[in-house]
Amino acid sequence: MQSDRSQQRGPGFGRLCSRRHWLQSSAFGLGSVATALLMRQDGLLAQDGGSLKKPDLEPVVYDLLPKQPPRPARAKAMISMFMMGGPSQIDLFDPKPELVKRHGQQFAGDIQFDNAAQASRQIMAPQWEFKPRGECGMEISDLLPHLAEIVDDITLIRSMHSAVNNHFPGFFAMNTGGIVGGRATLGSWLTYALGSESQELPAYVALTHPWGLPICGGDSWTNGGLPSLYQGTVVRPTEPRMFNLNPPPHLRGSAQAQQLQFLEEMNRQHAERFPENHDLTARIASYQLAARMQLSAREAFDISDETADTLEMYGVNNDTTRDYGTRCLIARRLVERGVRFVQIFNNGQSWDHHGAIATELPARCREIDQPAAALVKDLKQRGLLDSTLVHWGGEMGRLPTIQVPVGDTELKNVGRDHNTYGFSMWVAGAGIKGGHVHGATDEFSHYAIQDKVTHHDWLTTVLDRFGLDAHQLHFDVGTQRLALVENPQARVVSEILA
Amino acid sequence: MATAPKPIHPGVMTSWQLDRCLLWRLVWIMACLLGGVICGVESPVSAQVDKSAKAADAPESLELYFEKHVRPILKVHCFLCHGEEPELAGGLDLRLVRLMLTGGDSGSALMPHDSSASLLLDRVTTDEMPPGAKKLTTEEKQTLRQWIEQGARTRRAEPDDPREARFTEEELEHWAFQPIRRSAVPGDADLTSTAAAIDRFIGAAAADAGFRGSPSADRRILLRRLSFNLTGLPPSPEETAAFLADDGPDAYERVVERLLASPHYGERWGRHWLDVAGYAESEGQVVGDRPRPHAWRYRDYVVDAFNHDLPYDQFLREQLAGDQMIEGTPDPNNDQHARLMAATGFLQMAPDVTQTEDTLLNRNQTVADTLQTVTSAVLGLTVACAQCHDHRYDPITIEDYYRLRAVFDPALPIHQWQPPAQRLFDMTDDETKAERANIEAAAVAKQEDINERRRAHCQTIQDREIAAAPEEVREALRQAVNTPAGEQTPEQKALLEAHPKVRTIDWIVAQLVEYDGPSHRAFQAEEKEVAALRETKPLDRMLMAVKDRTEPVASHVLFRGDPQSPHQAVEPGEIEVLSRHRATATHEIVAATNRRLAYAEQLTDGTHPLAARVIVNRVWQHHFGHGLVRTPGEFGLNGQAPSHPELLDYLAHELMANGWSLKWLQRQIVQSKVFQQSSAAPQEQTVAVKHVVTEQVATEHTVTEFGATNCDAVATVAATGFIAESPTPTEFRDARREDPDNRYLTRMSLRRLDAEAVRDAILSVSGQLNPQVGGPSVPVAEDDEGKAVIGTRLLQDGLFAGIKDAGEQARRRSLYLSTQRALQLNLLHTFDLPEMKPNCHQRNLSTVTPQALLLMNDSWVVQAAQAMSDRLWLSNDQAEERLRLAFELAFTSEVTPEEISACLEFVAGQAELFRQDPDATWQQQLQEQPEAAERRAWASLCQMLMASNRFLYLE
Repeated sequence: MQSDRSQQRGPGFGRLCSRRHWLQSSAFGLGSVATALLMRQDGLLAQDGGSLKKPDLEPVVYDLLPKQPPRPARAKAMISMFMMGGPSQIDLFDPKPELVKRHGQQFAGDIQFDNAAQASRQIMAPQWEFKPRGECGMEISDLLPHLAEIVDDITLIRSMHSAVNNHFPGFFAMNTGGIVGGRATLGSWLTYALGSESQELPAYVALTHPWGLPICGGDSWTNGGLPSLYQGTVVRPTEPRMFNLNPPPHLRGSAQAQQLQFLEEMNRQHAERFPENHDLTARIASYQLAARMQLSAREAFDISDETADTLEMYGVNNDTTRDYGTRCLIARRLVERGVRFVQIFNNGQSWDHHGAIATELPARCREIDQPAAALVKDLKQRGLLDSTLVHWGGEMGRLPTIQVPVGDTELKNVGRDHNTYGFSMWVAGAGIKGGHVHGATDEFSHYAIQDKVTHHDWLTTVLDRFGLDAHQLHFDVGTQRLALVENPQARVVSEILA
Repeated sequence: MATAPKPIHPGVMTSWQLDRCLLWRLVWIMACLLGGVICGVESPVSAQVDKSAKAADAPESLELYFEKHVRPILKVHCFLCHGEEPELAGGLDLRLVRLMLTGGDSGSALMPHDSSASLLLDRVTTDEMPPGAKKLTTEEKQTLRQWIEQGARTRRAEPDDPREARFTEEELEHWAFQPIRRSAVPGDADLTSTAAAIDRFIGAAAADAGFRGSPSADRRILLRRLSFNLTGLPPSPEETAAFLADDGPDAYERVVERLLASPHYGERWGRHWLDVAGYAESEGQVVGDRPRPHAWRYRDYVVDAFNHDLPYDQFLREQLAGDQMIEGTPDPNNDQHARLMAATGFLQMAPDVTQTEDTLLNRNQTVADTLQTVTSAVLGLTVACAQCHDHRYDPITIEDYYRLRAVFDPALPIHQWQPPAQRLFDMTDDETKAERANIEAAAVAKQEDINERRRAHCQTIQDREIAAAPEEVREALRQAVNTPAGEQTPEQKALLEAHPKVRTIDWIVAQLVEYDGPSHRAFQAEEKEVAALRETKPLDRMLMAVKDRTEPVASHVLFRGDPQSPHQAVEPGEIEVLSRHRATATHEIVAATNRRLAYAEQLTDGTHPLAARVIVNRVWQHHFGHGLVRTPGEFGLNGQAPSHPELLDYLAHELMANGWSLKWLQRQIVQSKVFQQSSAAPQEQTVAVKHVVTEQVATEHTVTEFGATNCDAVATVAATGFIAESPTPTEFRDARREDPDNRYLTRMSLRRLDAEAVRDAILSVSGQLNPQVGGPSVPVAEDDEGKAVIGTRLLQDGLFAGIKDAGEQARRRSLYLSTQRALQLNLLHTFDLPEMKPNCHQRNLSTVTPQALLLMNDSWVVQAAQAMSDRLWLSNDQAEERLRLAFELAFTSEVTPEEISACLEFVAGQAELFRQDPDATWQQQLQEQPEAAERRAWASLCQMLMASNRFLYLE
């Protein structure tokens, strides 16, 4: 019977059966399993004390215990640095001599504008110089000098294509496989399929920016139709980093320790009157576990034990890079401790440079470049890069022509409009080739023309790295079958795999 | 069973159906392991407690029969291809042993006494069969092997036509399908009340098994138990004092009556029914779940019905057919009509995504879920299995399913469908309508006035911009801007391009914020007043109700549950097996018109085998934690047999004899000694009690059948009441050890408070509870990080702009918080509020760490603790008195001297720590209010009281 049930486990089966009523999900996807493990170890399973199993019609129950993927996995964890807004591939990743040559001329071809009111056909060359970097000679612009140091460890995809205009749909395409809000996010699918290696930390973490949430808000880490256990947990940029995980300030430390001691004494006395009741002892243990989880989580978020070199490498000592460096460092610490999926967000859509690209784009790059490169270096030196998939990219790129804000007659504050037909992102780790460029856009960096990679291909490739088949992974809700990737044409981009 | 199988065509089960079946199978396998439960004729307490240890080896000694042991396995795994479908796979029919012997294309499938020569066993042991992922379990294979080796016995001669063997006698004789009879009460003679009968039944079974009951709990515990059970709230200290001071012989009865008369009774018991009805305030879309803003009308109907003790038969009739109980057209000015229409909200609770995705499949799913809700709620049967094929376990045919569904088809016709918004029924009375219209008219007038003044203001802006142009072009400019864009001359266009700020009035109105921000904001403020005015409208009365279609609606058997494959037409009727023992063939009497009313009437005519049993079981369940049948939504062969079948039938019979009054039933249960037992282990209970050898009792007990009880035990009970006394305690078994699930009810089970009770109790003891009854639900919304909180989402320019506080409403009972399917208040969700998919029969009561974290750290909890401590602080200057009140509030308990000193020590320690807290603002506050540290320490104490098991569990 045990084996019979275990056959049903695994992502393909959608609904899983478990005999445990009480091992239930939580709103912040934390801890139920830890309790279960603890109880099992201590023989404290409620309602299991030698009594028989009942043929009750028990509800389907989900957990976060680690699960074997159907195929061997290269990735155990993923860190996604999501650049909401659409960083300009033309100015960062995709050098086009033709644009330099034709700077200021009118663009003759077919062009897909987002904002017609401010549209212009005037071609704008990248404002920063591209140089070959590393041993591989990958060309990266001067805006990303630190990335330039790790190009031999990354694959740069220059042929991303979603054709999904605007930020919300674009983000949903890249992160949920569909273009409307409310679908389950990549992190939810991964934790649904694979659980988590850590039972004392949330399985799926979203690290948000001190200036605010990404524009899609809660939809950025929603479990959609998957059980709420698989919702991403927001780790806030400032204390308290998680709700209900830290005591209110006045109870922190000894005050809460005294509280729990008092509570335990009270609960033990109470439990003495019900010697046969395992539920009471389980709850006593759950408070102990809660206290431990607070410590583990606090420990995971506390970077003070990192070496000076590490802090320096991530730019934690520098005002410009402190926030992003800290969050990248926390991401590494979480992955190190078994968290499955971490996504680092910028606020709003701060890469959306419709105007003032000349000043805003460098400002964004200065904040993230050093920390992002440090993350790859650090994972590598700790031997974690082999099993950690790292992603850097946004939901779109930008056009080769200028966008002129209303009233800006001197072209001081020009920017670039959306481009969803050809854009770039980079990936590393988990068996992804190093020093490799995949795909190409046309001579103006508008349309991906060679080895086009769609958002569905990308998500399929991510799942593949985790040993999962995007065409099999699904979840049934009534008549509705949910899947991350619904496009039967989606493929693993095997060309970027080592 | 004369109904012949109908022709069947190939088709595919939907994944949903498949999953459902997998689940069923698993359940069945578990049931199988327990031996005997499936057929359910053994005295179930014995089956479940005593034989559990021996379940695994039971088959060794058992004589196996096809009908009882083998057919259920083959029916689940094999019958569809090898029997039920018109084309026999491999020419092999497995429905009869005779046909197995004959065999199919590969020869005989069965060689009695020789399992190795039996193809049947070979195919399943190698997992060649059945195809697909689900195989027979080791235990099932073992049963098959053993049956073959014992000679492949049948219990009786097999029919000539396998179609006549659609169901076996074993299936048809399942206890739940038999008529309800008033069981003889053990030691009957001098019975004074139904409460006493409860004690006799429970006591007899316990004594029979060698157990004895527990002494009565003390009065405080009883009061807390009664208050939570009947109202979902703890008793107030005043109520406790009054009860303790009342030394009249009927003090307990008076408390019971007070609680039954409280409006909170209906809130508590209404909520139990809402679980069963699958009450949810959203439609169930996975993405973009749409709210059901009028669902609360049904909730209020239910609460009201319980508060007024609407007889349960009437309650069922109204919910199933309230619309058909109204003569003529429902009159919006008639509150009784509105009430009856609101009752039918019961049939509108199922998830329904057709507003956004109106496909035949989704319509069909809604109807299937509705039927699932109705049958599991009212009949305690999950008939859904029979949606695709004959029920795998119960003797319910696919025709039965669609006959029953035909009762509801005119109200929910999948081919003449109305999505949910179109199904809303307006029962707003004329006076309210008029008042709403008046306010709307005033709002419109106000808005028009604003519009007019705004345009006038924009006109002055336009004039100003024109005036800013050189005088010679002004007139031309005015003409140009007033010329429609399509009719402008090239000269006019050029002129306008040269003066970009000169725009049409419409354009300036739209861009007023740019032209004149302050005015724009002033007009916006006025528009907010218009919105506020609209909010003063009295509520309309939109009901989620059903009404039959006037045009005829045809009903068909849907082949394999596929709405696109209608087969033969069916007439409405009850499931046949539920009509077998009844005077008239009720399955045929459901009328052509007013089908639902006719159905509801036969359901409540006093002869239906399930309606009364199912509700008795539910009421019992909410008092003891489990029903007498522990699968309250499944009375079929798949469910558990009742632990005390005679008691169940007795109470069902008496309920009907007492006018189906649920308050009457409540009284009988809570006045029983069984209910009043203590939960705690007796102080002296140690190893002193010697246990009777389990096996010995078990062996004796297995032979006991329904209705037969051990005479000695009966005598003991009759003589001494429920708590069987005995000269030496050594004769009793230790129930805590040997009956840990408390199936014999020899004590009151300790139970965790459910989600609503946890929150409501915190509100209550902290003095914050807003006791308002009824009305629209308090909104729950996701805050910016996806945490569900009370309040409304504020949007500005389409982006999230915070949560609007719900004020006083935020402190109402949990019943009144909006419960969208996937959006439940964080606290309630953490304490296992069920998500309705489609309904819930038994709450999960988990023990998980997020609950601990919430009680330790959640700001709402901390604030409630502060409120409770303020209450203590203001009540008395003396610490001991405060503690007395604290323990009364939180635990309905006195505080012991030891507890006083422990609490005071804790408070002192906390206060000391708080005084040392270096936080500057805090230190400032301490300067001004030196007692702040102590008050904070008291709040810390209160928080721990509310986090304690003593608070969270009910004895």
